[in-house]
Amino acid sequence: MVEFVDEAFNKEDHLYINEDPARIYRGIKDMLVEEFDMDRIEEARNEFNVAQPKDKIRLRAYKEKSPHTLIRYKIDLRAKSPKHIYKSQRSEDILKAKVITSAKVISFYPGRDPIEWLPHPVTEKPFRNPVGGGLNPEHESAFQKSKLYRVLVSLWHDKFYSKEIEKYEEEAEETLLRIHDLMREKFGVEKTIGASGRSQYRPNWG
Amino acid sequence: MEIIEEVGRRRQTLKLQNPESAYSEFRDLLESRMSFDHVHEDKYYNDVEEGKVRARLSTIEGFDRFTKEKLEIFLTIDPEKGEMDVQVKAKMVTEYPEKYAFQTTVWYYAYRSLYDKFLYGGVREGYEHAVEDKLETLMERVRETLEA
Repeated sequence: MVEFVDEAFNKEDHLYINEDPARIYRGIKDMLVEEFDMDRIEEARNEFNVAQPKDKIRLRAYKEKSPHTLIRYKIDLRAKSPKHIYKSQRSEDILKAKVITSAKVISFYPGRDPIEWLPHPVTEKPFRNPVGGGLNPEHESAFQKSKLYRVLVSLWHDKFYSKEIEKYEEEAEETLLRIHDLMREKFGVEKTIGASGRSQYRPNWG
Repeated sequence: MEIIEEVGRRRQTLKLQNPESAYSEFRDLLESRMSFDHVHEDKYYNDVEEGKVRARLSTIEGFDRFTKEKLEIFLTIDPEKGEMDVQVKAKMVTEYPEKYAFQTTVWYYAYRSLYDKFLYGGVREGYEHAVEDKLETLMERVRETLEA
């Protein structure tokens, strides 16, 4: 399997508020599915504290763009009381909502297996945890494991497919900017500053 | 292989005409009224009740396939004092590609070093004035737009 990873976006928002920082993650999954049409959402290790506001939400959302390529969104949300240093110039009961997002465009070759209508037979093969968002194939031929295949794929990816990758990077950036804007709306904060050029991708929200 | 050259630094503290709309004016300036290829806000801190805003932004404009201009902007808006503090670092970044395995070898590094010293270094120096001008223009526009 040949894998290419392109970094698309990184951003952090820290909002200091007096009450209810947990509103940051309410309805987040519905928003990702309904507004952004994500194909798959995985919950990583989430932590909730009932005694005090100290919640950590870690989500991974995947959007499949082609049989080779997907966009992986990493969305980490925190509702917490800020650390001592951040309280020194603020009131004691201040709370913090934090949004950290990043996105990567990941390409796998030879890519996803074609979808078969026949069910797979039950075998005694060991369970294989699907990595790579399900785009890595079950079986690779000898040619696909060869060095020549790697060289050909690298050339194709860099010379011909790079335009598509740029388009997906822009889509990832616009999507995450929109997520940040929606998060800020919940706290009555202004929109974020960001201009990606939008030469390739036109988002449907404006 | 990456060569980063700092071209200039500027710092201004402005008395604001309208502190509530300073952030949106600044956004409008960067997104619409000046030409950049890419504008990105890396980090943003906001005290929602007080309206105090702190942000780290970066703008990018490409010159050719190796060199780009990068402005790093550190912004603080304090509505209580009615002040805005802007610090800008202007950098010129030259990146030689490292996609393929041969581009990470010492021979390639030596070739690029010689190429940069004897051929491309002069071209990069030619871009310095453009970066300085952009920095000055940004600071002037910020003053024109936001100062009381």
